[in-house]
Parts: sequence; C-alpha cells; structure tokens
Amino acid sequence: MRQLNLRQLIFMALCCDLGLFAKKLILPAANLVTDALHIPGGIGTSFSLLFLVTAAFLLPGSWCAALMGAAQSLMAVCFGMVGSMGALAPIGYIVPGVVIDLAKRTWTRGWLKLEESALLASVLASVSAACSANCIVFQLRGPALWLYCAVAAASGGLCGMLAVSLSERLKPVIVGGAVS
Amino acid sequence: MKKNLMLKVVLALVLAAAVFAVIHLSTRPAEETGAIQVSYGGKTVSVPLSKLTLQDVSGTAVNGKGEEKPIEGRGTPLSEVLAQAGADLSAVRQVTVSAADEFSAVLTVGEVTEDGKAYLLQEEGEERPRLIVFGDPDSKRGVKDVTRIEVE
Repeated sequence: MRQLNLRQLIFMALCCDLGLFAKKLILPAANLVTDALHIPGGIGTSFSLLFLVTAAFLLPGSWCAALMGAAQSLMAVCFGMVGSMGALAPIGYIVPGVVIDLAKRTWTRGWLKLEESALLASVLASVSAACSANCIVFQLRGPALWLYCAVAAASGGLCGMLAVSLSERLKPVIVGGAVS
Repeated sequence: MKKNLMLKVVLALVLAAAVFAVIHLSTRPAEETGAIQVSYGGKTVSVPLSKLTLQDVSGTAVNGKGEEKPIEGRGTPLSEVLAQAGADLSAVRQVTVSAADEFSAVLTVGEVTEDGKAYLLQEEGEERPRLIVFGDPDSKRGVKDVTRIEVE
C-alpha cells in the first residue's frame, strides 16, 4: 500500500468505525423491509459497506478495503459485536473488503470508470457478504436465497450510488483532488 | 457512466429483487397465526400453540460471544410438539425448525428425543415460540418466531 498521510489514515479509521456502527443504526429500519419479505437480512450490511467503498475509492493503494475489513473484524470481536456468526464473524467483514479491492482493479486498470467500478464494488461486496452469512449461518435455499441475494444486490446498488456521491464530495478534502 | 445510467442499473436490481420477492412470497408455505405447521410423510399438520402442554424450562444457553445466559420460562419439549402432530420419529433422519424469516436449524432425532435438550419456549409478549437447544456451544440454533417444523 502506498504511503498514506495522516488525514487519509484518520479518514480510513473513521470509515471503519462508521461502517461498523452504521449497521446498528440502520438495522431497525432494514428489519421492517426484511421482515415483510420474510428473509433474515441483506440490507444493513450494504449500508455498512458504503463506507468501505467510499474509502477504498478515495484512498490510494490496492488493499485498502481488505485492511479496513480486517480492522472492523478485530473491533467487532473486541466489542463482542459478532452477531450470529460467532467466531467466524471476521469472514463476514474481510471477504467483502477483498471483493471491493478486486472490483477496484476494474477502475485502476482502466476497464471501467470510477463510478461504474464503485457501483460494481458495492453490489458485489454486498452479495459476497450475503453469501458468506448464508454459508455460515442462514443456509437458505431456493427462492428465499435468490431473494436474499437480490435484496443484497439492490441495496448494494443504492449504497454504491451513495458511495459515489460521497466520494465526489469528499475528494477535495481527503485527497485534494488528486486521486491515484 | 452517466448518473441516469447508474440509476437505471440500480432500478433494474430493485426490479429483480421485486420479482424474486413475488416468487418467494407466493411459493413459501402459508403461516397460521397461533399455530405451528408440522410436515412429515408428505402431509402437513397444524398444531395450535394453545393445545401444547407447557412446562417450566430452565437451563443455560451459550450465545455467539461465548457468554452463558440463563434461560427461564415455559415451553414444550420439541418431541412433544411432534408427537402432538402425530409424527413418528422412529424412521426419521432429521428435524428442521424454521422461522418466519426462513432462518432454520437442523436437529438430529437423537437431539429431539433427548430429555431436556430441545424446547419450544413460549415467551411473554411474543406471538410465536423460540427454539432452545441446550448444550450448544453457540446460539446459532436459537430460532425465534418458529412457524414450521419439517420432519425428514
């Protein structure tokens, strides 16, 4: 990872915290939707990943989101916020981080524009988080699993748009207009 | 990508989710208020919660963080719920307990028939019972809002 300045490191830490605690804030509202659809989740995590996507696409470096996911998983274990995943909770944080970093390569290698890449990263990260949770905890099958993944993808798309908008606004402050 | 194209992509994802929602909600088994659906041998029997004999349930459950949590309440052994439905457990492989949100837990016949192991706990203020499996190292099988039991 390239050298990050203090402002960028603070921003990264802030996004880690926001991602971790934002999920708790949005959960009651998200549950209204998921309860109505009779699925066990899929929305809260997308909102949480918004901050990882924003930071990953604002900051230079290849493995920013994976590092933030690892930091989040460490914090989640320390604060006892492991949920139903228990000791396997770090997988639920690290896998989406890695997916965001891999999706970011579509932008850094010039295959997609930043907005497209960020949207793709958010959608894929949300779906990967949903699939991880399904493998470890829910073990849904059939239409319930498809709906669970589709809701994760849709909320990931919405949060991806928010992440793009947030990145554009924060770009002058965090990187001074010079994104790598 | 232009903003409106991104919006179209997101709308397409939302539409796909809506289509899957319609499929899921139209194909999932119907729920009955105040009763649990028990499926076995190709048939489904409705067991009213009011007909279940409640007994005191107490013990210790371990949550996802590894913390021990005392459980006190009134409930019915899972084996009794299945007996009430008329399910014969002698030729059974496993029992799947499912919630309204499709979260489910699988129990072996041995766990179902073991004394003091698996209960449907009826908590005050809750419309539907909760599955408690004593002795589990975490609360992964603590299914809330139980609506269905499938005996396979």
